[in-house]
Amino acid sequence: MLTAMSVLATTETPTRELDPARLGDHVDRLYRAAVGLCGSHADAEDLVQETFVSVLRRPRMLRSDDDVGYLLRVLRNTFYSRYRAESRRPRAADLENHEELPERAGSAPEAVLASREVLSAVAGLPEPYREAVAAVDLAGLSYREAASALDTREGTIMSRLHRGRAQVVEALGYTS
Amino acid sequence: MLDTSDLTALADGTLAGHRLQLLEELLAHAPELRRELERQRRGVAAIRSVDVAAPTSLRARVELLTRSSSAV
Repeated sequence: MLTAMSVLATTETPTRELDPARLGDHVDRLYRAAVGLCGSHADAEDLVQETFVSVLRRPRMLRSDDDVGYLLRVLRNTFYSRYRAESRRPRAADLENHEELPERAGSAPEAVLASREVLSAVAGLPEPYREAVAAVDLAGLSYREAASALDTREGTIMSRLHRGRAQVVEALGYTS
Repeated sequence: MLDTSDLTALADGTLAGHRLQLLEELLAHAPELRRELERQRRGVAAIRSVDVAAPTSLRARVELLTRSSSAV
């Protein structure tokens, strides 16, 4: 006979403890998303570090295998807390004019310039589009993972991606 | 019924199955839609080509954090 407890046991999503040793593998993906979100390499660096400090402060139980999605959710919350506190907006201009881009070793100068231009265009997007593009195209999450990290529906993510990508193309001056 | 989400998914290669087939049939007769698809593909290609790695200093700090946390 099924008891209330046995029903709960079979329907609850299993949880697992987040493994700190695996998190370091995600730094690049998280950093790219952070630059897209806040429009500044210096701020992105602080933001990623704060995210790890926050996540590693105590053991975390997750309901899915999606470590990056979880990290991105914390990063996003940290980002908005900081910007609310500092009353600041993302600084797309920093990427264009002032900051040095920490490109990969061996990257061609043209690729570095192109990356800077694209990240600047992403940083200039309206917030909901910027979040979707950062989650899917920069951090590499699936639509489902991005929807979970950003507390919205997959359809909304796809619609925001559509608009965000179109606006990036326009900002870059690509013509068909 | 198809919508812009299908075009989004086709542009980044995640549309599959029946909806992919339907959209491809529609695209064959809709030049305006093909232009929109091309625009989306350019956006995907540009954004996903961003070649930026986390700075070494950040990587080192994160490694220190994860190591000390794993050791607890």
